[in-house]
Amino acid sequence: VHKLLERQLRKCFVESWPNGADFSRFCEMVEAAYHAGDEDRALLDRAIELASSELFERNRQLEHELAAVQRLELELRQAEKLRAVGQLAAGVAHEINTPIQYVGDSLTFLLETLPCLVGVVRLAQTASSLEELRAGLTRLDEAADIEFVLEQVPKALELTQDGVRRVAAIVVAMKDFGRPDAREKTSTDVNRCVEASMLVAQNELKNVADVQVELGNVPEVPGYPGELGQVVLNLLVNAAHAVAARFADRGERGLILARTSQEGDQVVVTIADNGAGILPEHQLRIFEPFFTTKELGKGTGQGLAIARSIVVDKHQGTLTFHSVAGEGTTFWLRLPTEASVASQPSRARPARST
Amino acid sequence: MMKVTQEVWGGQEALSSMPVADEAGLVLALGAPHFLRDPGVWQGLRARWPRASLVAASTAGEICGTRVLDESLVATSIRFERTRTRCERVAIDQASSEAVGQQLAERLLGPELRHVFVLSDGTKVNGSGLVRGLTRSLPANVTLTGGLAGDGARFGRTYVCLDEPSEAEAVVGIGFYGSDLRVGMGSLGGWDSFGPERRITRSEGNVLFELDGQPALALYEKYLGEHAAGLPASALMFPLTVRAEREGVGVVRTITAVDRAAGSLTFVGEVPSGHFARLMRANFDRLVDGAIGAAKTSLSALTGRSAELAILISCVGRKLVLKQRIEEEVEGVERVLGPKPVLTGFYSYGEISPFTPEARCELHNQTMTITTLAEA
Repeated sequence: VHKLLERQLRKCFVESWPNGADFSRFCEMVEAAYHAGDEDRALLDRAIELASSELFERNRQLEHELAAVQRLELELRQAEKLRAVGQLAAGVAHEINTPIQYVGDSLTFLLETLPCLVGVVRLAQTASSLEELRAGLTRLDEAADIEFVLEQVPKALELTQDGVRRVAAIVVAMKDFGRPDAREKTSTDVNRCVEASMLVAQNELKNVADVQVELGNVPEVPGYPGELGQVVLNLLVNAAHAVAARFADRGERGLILARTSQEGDQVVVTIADNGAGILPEHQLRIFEPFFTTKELGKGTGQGLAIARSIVVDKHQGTLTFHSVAGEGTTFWLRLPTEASVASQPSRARPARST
Repeated sequence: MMKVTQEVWGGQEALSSMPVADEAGLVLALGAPHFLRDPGVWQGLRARWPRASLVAASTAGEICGTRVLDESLVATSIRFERTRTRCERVAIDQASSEAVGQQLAERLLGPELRHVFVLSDGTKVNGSGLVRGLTRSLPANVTLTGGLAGDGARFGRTYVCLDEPSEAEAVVGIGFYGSDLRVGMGSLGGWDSFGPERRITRSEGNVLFELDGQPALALYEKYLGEHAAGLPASALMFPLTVRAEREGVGVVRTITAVDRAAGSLTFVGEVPSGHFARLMRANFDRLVDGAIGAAKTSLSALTGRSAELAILISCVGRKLVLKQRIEEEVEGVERVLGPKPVLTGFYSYGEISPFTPEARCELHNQTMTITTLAEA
């Protein structure tokens, strides 16, 4: 018997004794209970329906907000990337200017030697005898050292070609950085990311440190090349600053190592320096947004926070470091290779039970 | 050992015809408001207990043993063997509820004060402020329980009186003195939260204007549908759990008044701006389990001793929801406490107790709050 019915029976047929059974009261109680039950159920059904629609609406609103946040985050990352490149603009300009200068010098030399070479050709075309040719060549040799010209012209052309190549490489690196990444990951050559970052940071690095680059034979990783380049650039610039902080006052140079290698199913980028190191009390905070120990205008405190987010959230990799204050810092950027990603079950797909 | 007796009246005639009873120091008279307005009832009570302190409160239902009554007066007389009691009344007047609590506590302070049981007006008081004032002024080793008087499901006029009828809104405190008294207490609700979490965006003390920037009254009207006409009582179907943080333990709040012009809802306790709120709904079995849980907690503090008197203060909201099943919660309490203690109490507009004896005393709504007493 239902607890309520038992109570109703007891009240109307047991406790009513000795006045006898109160059947009409029993009917009233049962009817009231049914009526109240129906009303309560209707009220709760309505409440649950309203709450569900409210939750559904909130969910939709949250999805919109999340999309907006993701858009903003993307814009922030792109802005941070451009800011980082912008900060290095003067150095990059210098890097372009040096080859441009020697390309210019070589072209000037070639223009100056051109009359001599043209003279030789014309003489060869017009001389009627061997004596005339020899006399002409002697005249030309007196005016311009033909042996020197013959020796230097190929060198000048090589220099010009080298200069143009260097400028082109820097421009390509800058374009790699400036271009927003595709929405989907692409097969990314980590070595190329490191080389591009080295080129962009070249001026920053070469004034303070000797740079050792050891690029291993590593497989491509699924990733966003622009963003990975941004991470490496950030680590390189930090290394340059750390080295400068330790050695610049003494007029000495530090050491920076950039290495790529494969460890199991991961590609590892190692950026090590023997700079000032990170103080123990700062080590727990370096990945916090807006945390910076750099002077005003030199760091926003966003660099490593964004770097970690790029590596961990977008590439499912890790970014770790070891640092000893006064001795130096090593960062390890570990990225899963295509093969390891393919062997992992998709996170988006729910596990299926069998 | 305490001596506790209990009597129930349904009308003035029966009351006035009762002979003088045994000497009791304290009588707890809990009943429908019309009893407490009636001078004849008071004459009858005084005639029956000439020297007792008569502490009375109007209710939204009376508890007498395992029975839940309406429109009755339940008088419980208590004679302690060694414990002393003193009662004080403070009118609410213009003073803040916190000041009233403070004043009451100061009047009750004295050597060997062990416990304070407080009964307060149910509609004019800010219960949170009252509890704050009391706890601030009472020593840490003095426990506090009690409740807010009721007026059926009408939320009109409530009465709290000491020794005589009074129209003025007041708070009455009973101080228990002596080292031989054991007091246990427990409070539990058993309601389930549902729907989205909302932020309290506009409120003043215990008056709530906006949730998530929307009028709070409109939200209740939407959820209650046709039952909105029955506000404020119908809001008891959907109490609000209020907490300072998104995660964490909250307090339950119910509405005592609505102001349709201002779009506001008045609660018994405070609903601070910036706090989070969520609607709650009843689950019959869990309400009964809540009462049983409160009983177990109240008993554990008596360290193996049986309770001799248990004062049950349960929220009117539980009575409106459980309807004919309401006695299930009292029966559940009796199963835990056993047949020895006399059970008395009432359905209230607010309960005052810590959740457990070690916790901080707070104002609650929608709970069963039990105070158990035993004398060594």
